[in-house]
This record gives sequence, structure tokens and C-alpha cells, in this order.
Amino acid sequence: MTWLNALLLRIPWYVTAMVVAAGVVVGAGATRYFAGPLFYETCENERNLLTGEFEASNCGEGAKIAQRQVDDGSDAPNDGRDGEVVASGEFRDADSAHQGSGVAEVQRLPNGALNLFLRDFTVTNGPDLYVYLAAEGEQTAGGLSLGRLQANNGNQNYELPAGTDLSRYDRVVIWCRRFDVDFAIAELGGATVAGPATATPPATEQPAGSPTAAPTAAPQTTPVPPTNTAPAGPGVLASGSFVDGEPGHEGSGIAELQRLAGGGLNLFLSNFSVTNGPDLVVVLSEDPAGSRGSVSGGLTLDALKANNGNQNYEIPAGTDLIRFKSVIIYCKSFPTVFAYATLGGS
Amino acid sequence: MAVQSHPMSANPVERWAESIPEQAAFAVSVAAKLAGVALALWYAYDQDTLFPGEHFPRTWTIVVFTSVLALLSCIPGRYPGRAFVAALGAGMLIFGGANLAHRPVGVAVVLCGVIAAVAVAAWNHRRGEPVAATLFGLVAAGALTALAIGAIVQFVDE
Repeated sequence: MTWLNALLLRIPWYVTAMVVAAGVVVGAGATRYFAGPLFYETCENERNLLTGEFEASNCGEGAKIAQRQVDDGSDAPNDGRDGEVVASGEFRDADSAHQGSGVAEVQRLPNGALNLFLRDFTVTNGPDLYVYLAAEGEQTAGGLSLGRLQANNGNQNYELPAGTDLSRYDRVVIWCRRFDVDFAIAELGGATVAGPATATPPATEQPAGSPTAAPTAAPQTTPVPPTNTAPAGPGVLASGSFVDGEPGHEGSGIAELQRLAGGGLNLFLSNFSVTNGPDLVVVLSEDPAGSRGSVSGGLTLDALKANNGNQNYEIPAGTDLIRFKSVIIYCKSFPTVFAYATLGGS
Repeated sequence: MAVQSHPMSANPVERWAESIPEQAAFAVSVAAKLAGVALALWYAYDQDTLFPGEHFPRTWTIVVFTSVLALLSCIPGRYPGRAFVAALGAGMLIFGGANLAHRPVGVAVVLCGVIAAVAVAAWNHRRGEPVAATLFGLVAAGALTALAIGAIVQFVDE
């Protein structure tokens, strides 16, 4: 220690002070980011969309909050129509360090939409966890992202994008995107999971004047350029699921280009959520990948009304929709793509 | 307690340390450590109450490990390595507390550790201890925390 002390005495005091302060800040910050989630339990307790009921889970406070939402009428249960469980499986540990339990249930809701319900779910917390549908033998990263994990405990719902082909997936994986590590895996089993189950867009969340019977959307994997000439009547011309934009900016939900009953064109964002930011706008882009560079050549519809919820944006009459392949949520102040949805359609 | 005299230093940090009574610096360091330990234990207890019927062994393990070392570093007495141990206890609250810093109470644990570390540095300086002892204590706390996390991940189930 003597040699170190002699060395420190030779170094200007302010250099030593700055190095020590920087070391402490970096060390503590890294500890918080990398290891902190291990000791941080979060809870989200949502109702089961299939039954409309709140179910027991391991997190009590979250359950109380969720119950209050029902009492307030802010999150009404469904109308009692029949749905079905398409497939289900129990979570297991991905390895000894990353543990999970609970049930994953793929549900077809009464309105035709597909929903993933995690029941009495718990998983080791991590810094960057996502819910994925994946197939055995494939990298989780190549699967279908259902969005960021809401919490590492509780009962939770994740909407499956319209047109999801369930026959492609046989498991639900809780996956750490930053480090490419599986945390928990639920292998799905069920009578209809092997069949070509697809989701239809919810019929109960349409805007006034919207199509009354939305057609089944095509699978996301085979996007077809939208057109403003077919179908002739009201309908969904194209749709796509929002995915995260540039790092640190997250988005989820569905974008639908609709022809309304009156002949007008409309962009409907359903179950939409995006990281909030200054000066966000909604842009139709010619680039299916929603790149930043394509914004200038795109069509800006309007300022984003809110970063959560169902929203409508009028598309100017005469717009040649066939040009546009994606919807971008774009920050004008700090040119950044917050989220984008690649459009596919009939 | 013998009070050592120090030549007037051009270093403002040393001048500041010399302006603080030795006993006061020690008292502040102990008080900050006790507060940090209490907050860390509260964090683990509070988390259990948020999840009725649940117990989180990993959280309790890191909290108890951090708390025990911080408390041991408060025991008064003169023995070899005293300066190192005092700094180690403060560092445990900084780095161990950083694991809890996703909640405000965890941030408070870290702040207690920072206050304790500054007080320990002043106390060590007043006693004529080498600066290196304080720095080694902080570095060792970071290393011990990293080892503890590794062991917890490997051997403690959720």
C-alpha cells in the first residue's frame, strides 16, 4: 500500500478526486443496470381478456390497482361472447440463473383477435426483457416480438399482431434482447396450435364510419403493397404491427389504413403505445423498414395526438396509397424514428 | 485520543478534511452507515409486503451481505487495517445499494454510502492514514459486491 500512497502523492489531488468519483459513478451505475433488476420485483396484474375476470397472482398490490380500474369502469370486461384457448404451456427455467414459472395461454378473443395471457407468471428480472413467440431450433431473435415485458410478476396480456400464423411458433420465450439470453420458456401445446390459426382485427374498436366487417389480414411475413382502389367498399386496405424504432425508443400496437364508409381514407392506430417525446409526428413512408431517411419523401399526416391509445388520422383525399409501405412515428426535433409499422394488406 | 498535527496543505480537499473534528467525522460515517443499513433492510422487507406470500431470497441475500459488512465496519477500536475496513463498509453501501437503486429507497442507500465514504475519508485523513487505504476499501467493496452477485445468481434460487 505504501507504493500506492507514494504514487497518489505524486498525482495532483484533483486528478485523484476525479478518477475516484468517476470510478464510483461508473461502478455503481453498471451495478444498477446489469445486476439491479435481479433484486427489483415488478408487478402487472391485468384481467384475463377471455373471461373478463381478474385472477389471483403473486402480486397483491398490482391486483388491487387492477381491481380499482374495473371499479372505475376504466377497463371494462368483455361482453361475455365466447372465445377459446388456442394453445397453452407452462413456463420453465431457461437455465439455473434465469428462472420462470406460470402459464402462457394463447387465446382467441370473442372479437377474433389473438391474445397471449400470462397467468400467475413470474420470471427472473433482467435489464431488457421482451416477450417473443419462437420456434424450436430457431434463435429467439428470429421470432415474433410481442413487446417489452410489462413486469416480471403477475397476470399480463400481450396482443398478437393481426395475421399472426401460429403454426410457425411452438413456444413463448421471455428474452433479454440486449444480451441475447432466454430467461424462461413455455412450450405451447393445444388442439389447434398446429393449424393455420390467424388473428382478425378487433371489430369493437373501430372509429365511426369505419368498415363494419374488417377482412382477415394477411400474415406479416408476406406484405403486399396497399392500394386505394381495392376493395371498392369500406375495409382495411393494409395493416401492420408497430415495432421499436431506434435504440431507446419503443412502440407497439397496430396501424391500419382504412377506407371509410363515406369513401375517405383513414389511418387507425389501435392498442397503440410509443415512447413519448417532443414534436412527434405520424408519417407515411415509402420504406418498408421505416428508415429515418425515408421521412423526408413521405407524407406527414399530423402531430401525434398521444403516445398511448386508439387514434385516427385523416389521410388526404387523392393520396396514392400504393406508394407507402410503412407508418413511422417520427421526432422532428431530434430526427429519430420512435416506432414504425410495416404495412401489408389485401 | 491523540490529535495529530498536519502541515498546512495547498490541497483544498485536505484542508477541508483537516477542518472537520476527528470524532465528528467518525460519528457521521457511523450514522450514515446505520441509516443505509436500515434503508436497505426496509427495501427487502417492503418488497416482500408488495407480494403477499412471496419471499425474495436473492434480494435478502444481497441486503444482508451488504448490511453485515457495513455494520462490522462501524465497530470502534484500533487494529491494523481499520482505515481499510471503514472505507469498505461505506463502499458496500454504495455498490450494494446500487443493486437496489431502481427504487428511491435504494438510491437513498447509495447516498448514505457516499456520505459515509466522504466522512470515512476525512476521518482516515485526520488519523494520518494513507489515502490508498480508503481507495482500496472502496475498490474492495466493488469487487466483493460483484462476487456476491455472481454467487447469488449461481447458488440462490428466486
